[in-house]
Amino acid sequence: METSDCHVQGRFPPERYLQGMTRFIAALPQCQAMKMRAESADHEHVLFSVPFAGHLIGNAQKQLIHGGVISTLLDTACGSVAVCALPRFEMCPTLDLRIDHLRPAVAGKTLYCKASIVKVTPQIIFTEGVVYQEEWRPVSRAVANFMRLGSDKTPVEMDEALFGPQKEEGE
Amino acid sequence: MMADSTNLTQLISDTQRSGNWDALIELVPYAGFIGITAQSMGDEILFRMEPLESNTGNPLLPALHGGVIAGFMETAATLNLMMRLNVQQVPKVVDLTVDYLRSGQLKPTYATCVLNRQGRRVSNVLVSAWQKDRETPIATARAHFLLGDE
Repeated sequence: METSDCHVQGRFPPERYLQGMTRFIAALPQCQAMKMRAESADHEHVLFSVPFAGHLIGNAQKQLIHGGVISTLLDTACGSVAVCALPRFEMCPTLDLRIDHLRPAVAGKTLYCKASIVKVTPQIIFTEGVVYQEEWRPVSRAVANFMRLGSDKTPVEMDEALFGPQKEEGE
Repeated sequence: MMADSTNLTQLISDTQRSGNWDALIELVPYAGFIGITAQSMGDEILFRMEPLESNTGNPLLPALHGGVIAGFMETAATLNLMMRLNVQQVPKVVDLTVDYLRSGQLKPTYATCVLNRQGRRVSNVLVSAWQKDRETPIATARAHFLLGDE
Protein backbone atom coordinates (compact mmCIF):
# COMPACT_ATOMS: atom_id res chain seq x y z
CA MET A 1 0.00 0.00 0.00
CA GLU A 2 1.23 3.49 -0.73
CA THR A 3 2.47 5.52 2.19
CA SER A 4 -0.04 8.30 1.70
CA ASP A 5 -3.51 6.81 1.85
CA CYS A 6 -5.04 10.11 2.87
CA HIS A 7 -6.15 13.02 0.77
CA VAL A 8 -3.35 15.45 1.51
CA GLN A 9 -3.72 17.17 -1.80
CA GLY A 10 -5.44 16.49 -5.08
CA ARG A 11 -3.94 14.27 -7.74
CA PHE A 12 -5.27 16.29 -10.66
CA PRO A 13 -6.75 19.64 -11.61
CA PRO A 14 -10.54 19.85 -10.97
CA GLU A 15 -11.41 19.29 -14.67
CA ARG A 16 -10.01 15.77 -14.47
CA TYR A 17 -11.96 14.98 -11.33
CA LEU A 18 -15.10 16.25 -13.03
CA GLN A 19 -14.40 14.16 -16.12
CA GLY A 20 -13.77 11.12 -13.88
CA MET A 21 -17.03 11.63 -12.00
CA THR A 22 -18.96 12.13 -15.25
CA ARG A 23 -17.62 8.77 -16.46
CA PHE A 24 -18.34 7.19 -13.06
CA ILE A 25 -22.01 8.25 -13.03
CA ALA A 26 -22.42 7.18 -16.65
CA ALA A 27 -21.55 3.63 -15.57
CA LEU A 28 -24.22 3.46 -12.84
CA PRO A 29 -27.61 2.39 -14.27
CA GLN A 30 -29.77 3.90 -11.49
CA CYS A 31 -27.99 7.26 -11.85
CA GLN A 32 -28.57 7.12 -15.60
CA ALA A 33 -32.25 6.36 -15.03
CA MET A 34 -32.40 9.50 -12.86
CA LYS A 35 -30.34 11.56 -15.35
CA MET A 36 -27.84 12.42 -12.63
CA ARG A 37 -25.03 14.82 -13.59
CA ALA A 38 -21.68 15.75 -12.11
CA GLU A 39 -21.49 19.56 -11.96
CA SER A 40 -18.11 19.97 -10.27
CA ALA A 41 -15.55 17.83 -8.45
CA ASP A 42 -12.18 17.90 -6.76
CA HIS A 43 -10.41 15.75 -4.16
CA GLU A 44 -12.55 17.05 -1.27
CA HIS A 45 -15.94 18.02 -2.72
CA VAL A 46 -18.34 17.04 -5.46
CA LEU A 47 -21.53 18.71 -6.67
CA PHE A 48 -24.08 16.47 -8.41
CA SER A 49 -27.58 17.20 -9.69
CA VAL A 50 -30.79 15.38 -10.62
CA PRO A 51 -33.32 17.17 -12.86
CA PHE A 52 -36.98 16.84 -11.91
CA ALA A 53 -39.05 14.08 -13.57
CA GLY A 54 -42.56 12.84 -12.86
CA HIS A 55 -41.46 9.35 -11.80
CA LEU A 56 -39.41 10.86 -8.96
CA ILE A 57 -42.56 11.98 -7.11
CA GLY A 58 -43.24 10.30 -3.78
CA ASN A 59 -46.32 12.19 -2.68
CA ALA A 60 -48.71 12.84 -5.55
CA GLN A 61 -51.16 14.61 -3.21
CA LYS A 62 -48.65 17.31 -2.34
CA GLN A 63 -46.36 17.00 -5.38
CA LEU A 64 -43.20 16.22 -3.44
CA ILE A 65 -40.09 14.35 -4.54
CA HIS A 66 -39.56 10.94 -2.90
CA GLY A 67 -36.94 10.51 -0.17
CA GLY A 68 -35.48 7.61 -2.16
CA VAL A 69 -34.35 10.04 -4.86
CA ILE A 70 -32.56 12.03 -2.17
CA SER A 71 -31.03 8.84 -0.71
CA THR A 72 -29.69 7.83 -4.11
CA LEU A 73 -28.30 11.29 -4.82
CA LEU A 74 -26.62 11.41 -1.38
CA ASP A 75 -25.25 7.87 -1.55
CA THR A 76 -23.84 8.50 -5.03
CA ALA A 77 -22.34 11.91 -4.27
CA CYS A 78 -20.86 10.85 -0.91
CA GLY A 79 -19.49 7.62 -2.44
CA SER A 80 -18.01 9.63 -5.31
CA VAL A 81 -16.23 12.13 -3.10
CA ALA A 82 -14.83 9.15 -1.17
CA VAL A 83 -13.34 7.85 -4.43
CA CYS A 84 -11.93 11.28 -5.32
CA ALA A 85 -10.11 11.52 -1.99
CA LEU A 86 -8.14 8.29 -2.50
CA PRO A 87 -4.65 8.02 -3.96
CA ARG A 88 -6.04 5.45 -6.40
CA PHE A 89 -9.55 4.20 -7.23
CA GLU A 90 -10.91 1.59 -4.82
CA MET A 91 -14.30 -0.02 -4.51
CA CYS A 92 -15.99 1.61 -1.51
CA PRO A 93 -19.28 0.04 -0.47
CA THR A 94 -21.57 2.08 1.79
CA LEU A 95 -21.47 1.07 5.44
CA ASP A 96 -24.24 3.35 6.58
CA LEU A 97 -26.22 6.34 5.45
CA ARG A 98 -28.01 8.64 7.93
CA ILE A 99 -30.32 11.29 6.53
CA ASP A 100 -32.25 14.16 8.13
CA HIS A 101 -35.06 15.54 6.00
CA LEU A 102 -35.24 19.24 6.85
CA ARG A 103 -37.84 20.45 4.39
CA PRO A 104 -39.77 18.88 1.52
CA ALA A 105 -38.25 18.63 -1.96
CA VAL A 106 -40.82 20.10 -4.32
CA ALA A 107 -41.75 18.88 -7.81
CA GLY A 108 -40.50 20.83 -10.80
CA LYS A 109 -37.11 21.85 -9.44
CA THR A 110 -33.65 20.34 -9.87
CA LEU A 111 -32.05 18.70 -6.81
CA TYR A 112 -28.39 19.43 -6.05
CA CYS A 113 -26.13 17.54 -3.69
CA LYS A 114 -22.83 18.82 -2.37
CA ALA A 115 -20.77 16.07 -0.72
CA SER A 116 -17.56 16.57 1.25
CA ILE A 117 -14.84 14.46 2.76
CA VAL A 118 -14.67 14.49 6.54
CA LYS A 119 -11.84 12.02 7.07
CA VAL A 120 -10.00 9.27 5.23
CA THR A 121 -8.48 6.41 7.23
CA PRO A 122 -6.83 3.21 5.93
CA GLN A 123 -10.11 1.29 6.42
CA ILE A 124 -12.99 3.77 6.48
CA ILE A 125 -13.91 6.98 4.68
CA PHE A 126 -16.18 9.46 6.49
CA THR A 127 -18.26 11.84 4.37
CA GLU A 128 -21.16 14.25 4.67
CA GLY A 129 -23.59 15.70 2.17
CA VAL A 130 -26.29 18.29 1.81
CA VAL A 131 -29.15 18.34 -0.69
CA TYR A 132 -30.86 21.53 -1.80
CA GLN A 133 -33.04 22.98 -4.54
CA GLU A 134 -32.20 26.60 -3.76
CA GLU A 135 -28.80 27.38 -2.35
CA TRP A 136 -28.74 28.03 1.43
CA ARG A 137 -32.09 26.27 1.87
CA PRO A 138 -31.10 22.69 2.63
CA VAL A 139 -33.70 20.01 1.87
CA SER A 140 -31.75 17.19 3.55
CA ARG A 141 -28.40 16.58 5.13
CA ALA A 142 -26.60 13.31 5.61
CA VAL A 143 -23.62 11.51 7.01
CA ALA A 144 -22.33 8.48 5.10
CA ASN A 145 -19.45 6.14 5.87
CA PHE A 146 -17.75 3.88 3.35
CA MET A 147 -15.48 0.88 3.64
CA ARG A 148 -12.25 0.72 1.63
CA LEU A 149 -11.80 -2.63 -0.10
CA GLY A 150 -8.20 -1.74 -0.96
CA SER A 151 -6.70 -0.97 -4.36
CA ASP A 152 -5.49 -4.59 -4.62
CA LYS A 153 -9.15 -5.70 -4.73
CA THR A 154 -10.01 -3.24 -7.51
CA PRO A 155 -8.94 -3.73 -11.15
CA VAL A 156 -6.06 -1.33 -11.91
CA GLU A 157 -7.66 -0.35 -15.23
CA MET A 158 -10.56 1.25 -13.39
CA ASP A 159 -8.50 4.16 -12.13
CA GLU A 160 -7.22 4.77 -15.66
CA ALA A 161 -10.71 4.35 -17.12
CA LEU A 162 -12.06 7.04 -14.79
CA PHE A 163 -9.28 9.55 -14.46
CA GLY A 164 -7.11 8.77 -17.48
CA PRO A 165 -6.93 11.01 -20.54
CA GLN A 166 -9.63 10.91 -23.18
CA LYS A 167 -9.08 8.05 -25.63
CA GLU A 168 -8.42 9.08 -29.23
CA GLU A 169 -10.98 7.87 -31.69
CA GLY A 170 -10.30 4.36 -33.00
CA GLU A 171 -8.07 3.47 -30.06
CA MET B 1 -54.06 10.67 -9.83
CA MET B 2 -54.78 13.07 -6.98
CA ALA B 3 -56.47 12.21 -3.74
CA ASP B 4 -57.67 14.44 -0.95
CA SER B 5 -57.60 13.22 2.65
CA THR B 6 -61.05 11.60 2.57
CA ASN B 7 -60.09 9.78 -0.60
CA LEU B 8 -56.88 8.62 1.02
CA THR B 9 -58.71 7.22 4.05
CA GLN B 10 -61.12 5.49 1.66
CA LEU B 11 -58.26 4.16 -0.43
CA ILE B 12 -56.55 2.73 2.65
CA SER B 13 -59.67 0.96 3.87
CA ASP B 14 -60.30 -0.38 0.34
CA THR B 15 -56.77 -1.76 0.28
CA GLN B 16 -57.20 -3.29 3.72
CA ARG B 17 -60.40 -4.97 2.59
CA SER B 18 -59.40 -6.12 -0.90
CA GLY B 19 -55.70 -6.78 -0.34
CA ASN B 20 -55.10 -5.12 -3.71
CA TRP B 21 -52.37 -2.51 -3.31
CA ASP B 22 -52.27 -1.14 -6.86
CA ALA B 23 -54.28 2.05 -6.29
CA LEU B 24 -52.39 2.96 -3.12
CA ILE B 25 -48.98 2.39 -4.73
CA GLU B 26 -50.05 4.46 -7.74
CA LEU B 27 -50.06 7.45 -5.40
CA VAL B 28 -46.30 7.00 -5.17
CA PRO B 29 -44.90 7.22 -8.74
CA TYR B 30 -41.36 6.58 -7.44
CA ALA B 31 -42.53 3.18 -6.13
CA GLY B 32 -43.36 2.22 -9.73
CA PHE B 33 -40.02 3.57 -10.93
CA ILE B 34 -38.07 1.12 -8.72
CA GLY B 35 -40.66 -1.69 -9.00
CA ILE B 36 -42.28 -1.97 -5.56
CA THR B 37 -45.31 -4.16 -4.84
CA ALA B 38 -46.92 -5.19 -1.56
CA GLN B 39 -48.91 -8.04 -0.18
CA SER B 40 -50.75 -8.45 3.13
CA MET B 41 -49.90 -11.76 4.79
CA GLY B 42 -51.92 -12.19 7.95
CA ASP B 43 -50.69 -9.62 10.45
CA GLU B 44 -47.72 -8.70 8.33
CA ILE B 45 -47.20 -6.71 5.16
CA LEU B 46 -44.56 -8.04 2.82
CA PHE B 47 -42.98 -5.54 0.42
CA ARG B 48 -41.15 -6.62 -2.70
CA MET B 49 -38.84 -4.81 -5.11
CA GLU B 50 -38.36 -6.25 -8.59
CA PRO B 51 -34.80 -6.85 -9.85
CA LEU B 52 -34.90 -4.05 -12.42
CA GLU B 53 -31.66 -3.52 -14.27
CA SER B 54 -32.10 0.22 -13.75
CA ASN B 55 -31.90 -0.32 -9.97
CA THR B 56 -28.26 -1.33 -10.08
CA GLY B 57 -25.49 0.91 -8.82
CA ASN B 58 -22.56 -1.37 -9.53
CA PRO B 59 -22.87 -2.89 -12.99
CA LEU B 60 -19.78 -5.10 -12.54
CA LEU B 61 -21.07 -7.29 -9.70
CA PRO B 62 -23.98 -6.41 -10.43
CA ALA B 63 -25.32 -4.94 -7.19
CA LEU B 64 -28.35 -2.83 -6.31
CA HIS B 65 -27.69 0.87 -5.71
CA GLY B 66 -27.56 1.63 -1.98
CA GLY B 67 -29.83 4.62 -2.53
CA VAL B 68 -32.47 2.42 -4.15
CA ILE B 69 -32.35 0.03 -1.18
CA ALA B 70 -32.87 3.06 1.09
CA GLY B 71 -35.74 4.28 -1.13
CA PHE B 72 -37.35 0.84 -1.01
CA MET B 73 -37.10 0.69 2.78
CA GLU B 74 -38.47 4.21 3.23
CA THR B 75 -41.41 3.41 0.95
CA ALA B 76 -42.11 0.18 2.84
CA ALA B 77 -42.05 2.05 6.17
CA THR B 78 -44.39 4.77 4.85
CA LEU B 79 -46.95 2.40 3.32
CA ASN B 80 -46.79 0.16 6.38
CA LEU B 81 -47.64 3.14 8.62
CA MET B 82 -50.48 4.26 6.38
CA MET B 83 -52.07 0.82 6.55
CA ARG B 84 -51.53 0.34 10.28
CA LEU B 85 -52.72 3.75 11.43
CA ASN B 86 -55.41 4.62 8.91
CA VAL B 87 -53.82 8.00 8.40
CA GLN B 88 -55.49 10.84 6.55
CA GLN B 89 -52.25 12.11 5.10
CA VAL B 90 -49.07 10.54 3.87
CA PRO B 91 -46.70 10.44 6.89
CA LYS B 92 -43.63 12.66 6.56
CA VAL B 93 -40.22 11.06 6.95
CA VAL B 94 -38.11 13.00 9.46
CA ASP B 95 -34.96 10.94 9.37
CA LEU B 96 -33.73 7.64 8.02
CA THR B 97 -30.70 5.56 9.00
CA VAL B 98 -29.68 2.63 6.83
CA ASP B 99 -27.04 0.05 7.76
CA TYR B 100 -25.78 -1.90 4.76
CA LEU B 101 -24.95 -5.45 5.79
CA ARG B 102 -24.45 -7.27 2.49
CA SER B 103 -24.39 -6.24 -1.13
CA GLY B 104 -27.81 -6.47 -2.76
CA GLN B 105 -27.80 -8.78 -5.76
CA LEU B 106 -29.91 -8.28 -8.85
CA LYS B 107 -32.80 -10.43 -7.62
CA PRO B 108 -36.11 -9.81 -5.83
CA THR B 109 -35.69 -7.95 -2.53
CA TYR B 110 -38.19 -8.17 0.32
CA ALA B 111 -38.87 -5.94 3.31
CA THR B 112 -40.99 -6.02 6.44
CA CYS B 113 -41.50 -3.33 9.07
CA VAL B 114 -41.94 -3.20 12.81
CA LEU B 115 -43.73 -0.24 14.35
CA ASN B 116 -41.34 0.22 17.23
CA ARG B 117 -43.18 3.00 18.96
CA GLN B 118 -46.25 4.98 18.08
CA GLY B 119 -46.48 8.33 19.83
CA ARG B 120 -49.10 10.99 19.38
CA ARG B 121 -47.15 12.77 16.67
CA VAL B 122 -44.07 10.72 15.89
CA SER B 123 -43.62 7.07 14.88
CA ASN B 124 -40.45 5.04 15.06
CA VAL B 125 -40.27 2.26 12.47
CA LEU B 126 -37.71 -0.49 11.94
CA VAL B 127 -37.28 -2.02 8.49
CA SER B 128 -35.44 -5.15 7.47
CA ALA B 129 -34.64 -5.98 3.82
CA TRP B 130 -33.48 -9.37 2.62
CA GLN B 131 -33.12 -11.52 -0.51
CA LYS B 132 -32.14 -15.10 0.32
CA ASP B 133 -33.89 -15.40 3.67
CA ARG B 134 -35.05 -13.19 6.50
CA GLU B 135 -32.24 -14.25 8.77
CA THR B 136 -29.59 -12.78 6.46
CA PRO B 137 -30.78 -9.21 5.79
CA ILE B 138 -28.94 -7.12 3.20
CA ALA B 139 -29.86 -3.95 5.12
CA THR B 140 -31.67 -2.75 8.20
CA ALA B 141 -33.12 0.71 8.67
CA ARG B 142 -34.71 2.90 11.30
CA ALA B 143 -36.87 5.90 10.55
CA HIS B 144 -38.95 8.54 12.31
CA PHE B 145 -42.16 9.79 10.77
CA LEU B 146 -44.32 12.77 11.56
CA LEU B 147 -48.05 12.19 11.35
CA GLY B 148 -50.54 14.84 10.33
CA ASP B 149 -49.84 18.52 9.72
CA GLU B 150 -46.91 20.52 11.09
